[in-house]
Amino acid sequence: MQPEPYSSMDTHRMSLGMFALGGLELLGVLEEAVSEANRKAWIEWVYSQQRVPAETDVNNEDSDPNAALYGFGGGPFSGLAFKQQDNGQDNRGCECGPHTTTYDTSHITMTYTALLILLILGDDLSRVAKEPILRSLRKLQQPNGSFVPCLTDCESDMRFTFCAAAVSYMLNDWSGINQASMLQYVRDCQTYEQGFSQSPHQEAQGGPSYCAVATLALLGKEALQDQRTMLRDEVNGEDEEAFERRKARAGFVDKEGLRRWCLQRQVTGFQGRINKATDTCYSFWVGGALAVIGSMDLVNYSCNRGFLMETQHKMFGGFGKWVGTYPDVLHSYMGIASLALMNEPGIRPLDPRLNVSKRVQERLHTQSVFWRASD
Amino acid sequence: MSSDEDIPFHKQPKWADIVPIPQDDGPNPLVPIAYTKEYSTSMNYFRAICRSQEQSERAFELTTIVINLSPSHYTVWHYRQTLLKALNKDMTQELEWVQEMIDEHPKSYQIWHHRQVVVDHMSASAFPAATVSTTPSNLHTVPMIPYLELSESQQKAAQEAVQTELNCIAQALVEEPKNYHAWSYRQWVLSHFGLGPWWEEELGYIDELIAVDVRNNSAWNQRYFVVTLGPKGLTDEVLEREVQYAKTKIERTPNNESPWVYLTGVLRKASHPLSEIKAFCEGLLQKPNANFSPFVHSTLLDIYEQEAKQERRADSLLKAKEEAIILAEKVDTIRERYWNWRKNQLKAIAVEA
Repeated sequence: MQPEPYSSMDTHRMSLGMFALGGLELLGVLEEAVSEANRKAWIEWVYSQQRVPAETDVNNEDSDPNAALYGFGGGPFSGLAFKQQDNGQDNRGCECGPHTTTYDTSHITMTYTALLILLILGDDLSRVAKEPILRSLRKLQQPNGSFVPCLTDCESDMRFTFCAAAVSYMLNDWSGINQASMLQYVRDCQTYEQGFSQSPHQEAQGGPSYCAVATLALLGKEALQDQRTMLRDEVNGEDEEAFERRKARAGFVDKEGLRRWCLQRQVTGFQGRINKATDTCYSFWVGGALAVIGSMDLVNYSCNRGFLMETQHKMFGGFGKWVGTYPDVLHSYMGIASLALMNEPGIRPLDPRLNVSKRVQERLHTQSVFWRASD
Repeated sequence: MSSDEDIPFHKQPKWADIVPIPQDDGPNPLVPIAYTKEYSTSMNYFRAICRSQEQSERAFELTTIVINLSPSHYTVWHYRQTLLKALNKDMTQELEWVQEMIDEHPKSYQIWHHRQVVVDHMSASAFPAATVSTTPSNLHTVPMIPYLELSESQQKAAQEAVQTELNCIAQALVEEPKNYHAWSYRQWVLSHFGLGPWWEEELGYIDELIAVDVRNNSAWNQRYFVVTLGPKGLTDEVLEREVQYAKTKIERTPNNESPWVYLTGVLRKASHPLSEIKAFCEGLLQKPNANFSPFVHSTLLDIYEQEAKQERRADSLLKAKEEAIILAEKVDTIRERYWNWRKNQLKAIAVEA
């Protein structure tokens, strides 16, 4: 049970669950901390937050009135009934229909964290409604390539762009996304400072920098290239036009610049922007961006580790935002994840692209229904 | 005698017909939250209102109650926006309420976005000739109101509207000069009303902020925004002015990253080579307050490295190596690994003996 101040996160409970369970997973204590009964019950709770099309709309993408609603919600706050296994019928969550409204919508970050939780808890994703989720992604992508998390929340920025990429990657299907336009958005957000911003022209910041770089990594190797240093392949007869097309598949305007910007954020731990205070979560956001481009080894581990140890709460455990602040579940997860990036003994290695343990990332490939057949 | 305000809202007669909908969390939920009674009750009523999509004054009042308890609840904000338009509410009054909310919760994205929705709505009716778009993707840089084509009185109205918004944002920036949402909204305001005089005036405002805190990187970012996207554009004259501006700030606080990235950023944007500031950087090395600044040395490392690559000069390569060593061992030791890595990268550069 989370204390009352978490009420302000009521719409985002799924992500709190991901931080809590993902943290236990990284600490290597998931199995001992989560009983079999809880594991099963929580998988049902997560599936109960899924929104799927009504029978009549399954094959009806063009005129489906609920086309943007599919995926997972952050909790049952909109007032839908809890679903569970019924007469041998699998619980696949709530079927949208005349009894639902646009306020029963899923939220893209909750879909991303729900999929991670299911994998962490050992589920094979067999009840995840892939096609409907892809249908909704098509509705949520904006003309500039970014994503809104749902139609009732108009924030469109790098966070939700990353979530769309992570969801597509886990479903092993990119047909819900216009990738060229997504890449253009990422490039548009690399600022003159060389970090990435939430939206074009805003200030570079650690969170969107992680989201941008992880998006590129999930899109694939070509997207991790740097436009500035690419050269036309004259030897193999690449003409100007082909070269331009290849350049358009590169996600960095300047990859070296991003590396530099990230490393400059280290003060002891990391700050999220130029001339701002250090904060535990940036040890992961900035560290994670560096890990994705293979430069974590350039970080000063002992300074970062020293900072993280100080933000740990002496009595309650867990990590706070700053030295002396109360711990919370987000900063605790981020602190552990940053330690994982530095190969801290006793912490499981982390896949920085999905932000989950390597063990769970491998489970996605070997055990989930979307990957195991294709590998 | 107690007034209406002393009675909890749901005990008032006007709510008697509503059957509240409690949250159904199942037998063993993940991350349950110990809600306060007040929050649970308000949400139970909100769920009922939302389910029936009721458009009424009491529904509007309820959104105020829930927002006060949970200012980032996007569903409630969206519902309120629907009601504002459906009930034809007084938008000026709404702006006053938003102002109070901003004072209390300046870091909530939803509040700033709400203000934008209201202002967007107001300007759509005030400037009928304008093509106003509310799609979130167009929130940045696209001038949506053709300011220059407006009549004189409409131009004046636009200027007043912009001024009201800029004042509201400036007030929030006094409390928190790096408030990301406030700056984001400020960029939207500048762009939304088109190419008016506020763009040029913005530079004066930024200058004031930088005078107060030369390390306010958000203000530097805004400067870059105005200079590169404003009506004037980054002409040679503007570039020269901005280069001088950054140099002056660097000379006074050489260890401040903001003007350094600004200086190299505007040069790159104008496709001018970094070597244009070589003499400036070398000059700083002679100043006792500047030769310990990592940014002097790292900029020189970049300049010498480029020189070595482009002109195949052995002396430049040697200088680059020296800068990398100074950075790794003396002035920026926290990044020792990075500067040593940069030093090793130099080995791949072929120079003429």
